[in-house]
Amino acid sequence: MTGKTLTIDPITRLEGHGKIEIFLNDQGDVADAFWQVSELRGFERFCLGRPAEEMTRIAPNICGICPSAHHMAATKALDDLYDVAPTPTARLIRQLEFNAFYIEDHYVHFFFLAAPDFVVGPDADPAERNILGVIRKLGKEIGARVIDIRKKNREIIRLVFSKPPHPEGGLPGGVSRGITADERRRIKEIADDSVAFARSAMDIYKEVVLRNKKNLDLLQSDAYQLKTCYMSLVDENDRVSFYDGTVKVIDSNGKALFRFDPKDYVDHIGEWVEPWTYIKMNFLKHIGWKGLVEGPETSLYRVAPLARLNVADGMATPLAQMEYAQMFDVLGGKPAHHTLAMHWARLICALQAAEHNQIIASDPLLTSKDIRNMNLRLKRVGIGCVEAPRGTLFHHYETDDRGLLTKINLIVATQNNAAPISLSVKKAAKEFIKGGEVREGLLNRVEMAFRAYDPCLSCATHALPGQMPLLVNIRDTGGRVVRTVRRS
Amino acid sequence: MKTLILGMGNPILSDDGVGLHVAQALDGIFADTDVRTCALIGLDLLDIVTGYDRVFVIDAIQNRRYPPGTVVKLAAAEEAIHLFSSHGMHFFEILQLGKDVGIAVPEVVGIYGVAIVTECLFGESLSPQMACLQDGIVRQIAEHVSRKML
Repeated sequence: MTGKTLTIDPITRLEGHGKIEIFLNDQGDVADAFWQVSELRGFERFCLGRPAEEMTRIAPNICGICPSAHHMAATKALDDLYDVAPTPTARLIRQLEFNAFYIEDHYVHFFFLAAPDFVVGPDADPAERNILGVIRKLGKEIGARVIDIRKKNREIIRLVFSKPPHPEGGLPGGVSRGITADERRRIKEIADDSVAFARSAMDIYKEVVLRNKKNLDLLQSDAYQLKTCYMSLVDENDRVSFYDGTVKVIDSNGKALFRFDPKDYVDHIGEWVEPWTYIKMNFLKHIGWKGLVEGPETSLYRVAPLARLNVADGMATPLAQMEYAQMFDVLGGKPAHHTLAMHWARLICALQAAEHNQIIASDPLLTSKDIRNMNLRLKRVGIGCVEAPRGTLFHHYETDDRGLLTKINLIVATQNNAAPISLSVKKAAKEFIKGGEVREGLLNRVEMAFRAYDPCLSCATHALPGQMPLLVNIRDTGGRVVRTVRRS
Repeated sequence: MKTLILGMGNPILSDDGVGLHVAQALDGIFADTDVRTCALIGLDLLDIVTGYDRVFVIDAIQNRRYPPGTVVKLAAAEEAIHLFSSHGMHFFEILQLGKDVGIAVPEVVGIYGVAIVTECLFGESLSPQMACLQDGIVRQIAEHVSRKML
């Protein structure tokens, strides 16, 4: 037998173009594995010379997945660029919109991408392993509820930011419209319904994953554990925060390493370039690039839902806090390195978002007409940061004295996670592919390792939407394709 | 019968957005027909098509078998760029999901794939080569749609 290369290209159920290269040794076991992103960059260049205010409309169009996150990061970068703080009411309205986006985003991910593996099963026929299969197992009322709760939260986005999924309401210093008393009542209804749905989604997760031995074993499997550092935004009480806060970083043992103002990101986040992928791999500058390694010496960090819960001292809302405590109790304390627990953490974050919108809906300030601070002063550099659903997101703009863009840098969640995703893929591949056996269910288990991150390659490479069928090439040591498997 | 012509594509990715340009050119040609454009995928598509009886879809395809500007009537959506979604499911799964949960989804009467030059070029307009071909593409698709409308 000679060594082979397996190529999973592109990856199923993921945005943009990416592939997994798995190298087998002569025994048919995995010698190495990489997650590659093969797109070209160029988004930054496309934006140069434009008025900075256009970024709130351009950035959300990178793809159709994270528009609200890019819109909010761009809006906050403009706040900084024009040296202006949003009014308290504008801040509430922005948080309302962002929470609504979190709710729809996280439930679509869980029910459409994650649940098929746990509800239908990782070994199921790919034609069945999708949301339709989930509904067949759990009942069509679940599908209707997911669609309904997403639609209602879209209603909030449309109401406050006018145009889901590509919102337009964020302006430097505020928002474009306020909230009436009637609208507040409707927002409260939706928030109440969202909390009820969030609680039922938690119950579904516990029933499907925690009370199913096979799924619980998968969740706790060493194949899906990766010991990295973690990064997230936290509020002034070190609680999980989506809209604003300071960036906190912990090491792989859970010890707080440092925290920083998002405006100082360049002092803390390094970008490493590997010749085999277009995506830059981020690392902690304080430690320095140590390569693709996990454990105490690593400079790699992860972002996204599990990172948020690992980094923070707790959740910002009571029901989410109870779920947070239970999660770490089951997983054996903090930090939890269980990659598949991202799904659990995602549901807890969605619960916090729903609860927070209940609080916002009852805030007297919400219906104030003081929605914009017009005291603008162009300072030519602006940096905005939010905790996007997929992790910490930075927008950095520089302009000339007319406000035309001269420099843009985006640090997106998938870029933060790029190196850990590659390592997660390698660990799963080593565990599940042995003796040259390469069957569908095993490949899907490898894909589950990175699907948990919900990576978005369009943003990470600033390139392309769309998806194509799965292609697996098996090559011998000379690079010759000896077998091709195509999944559409 | 409520009819929708849906042009798909990304408005800042040049040729990738050919479906948007062609759909806009078809706006007003057919009576009692809405023309919409979208850069969306997944469940967003369900929001857009819900309530229509039939839908025509125009999307970009990138396939070396076809020279740029070729209009391909797709029997299924495998080759169209935007009918597949990453974060979830493709267009036909979306429609099936809608049916399964009791939402009125349209019949897909035609899917027209337009072969493009490149899908990786940022820009708000078509590439010069595709721009020259646009009128012919619009005529071809308009003829197809007219026949299906009968």
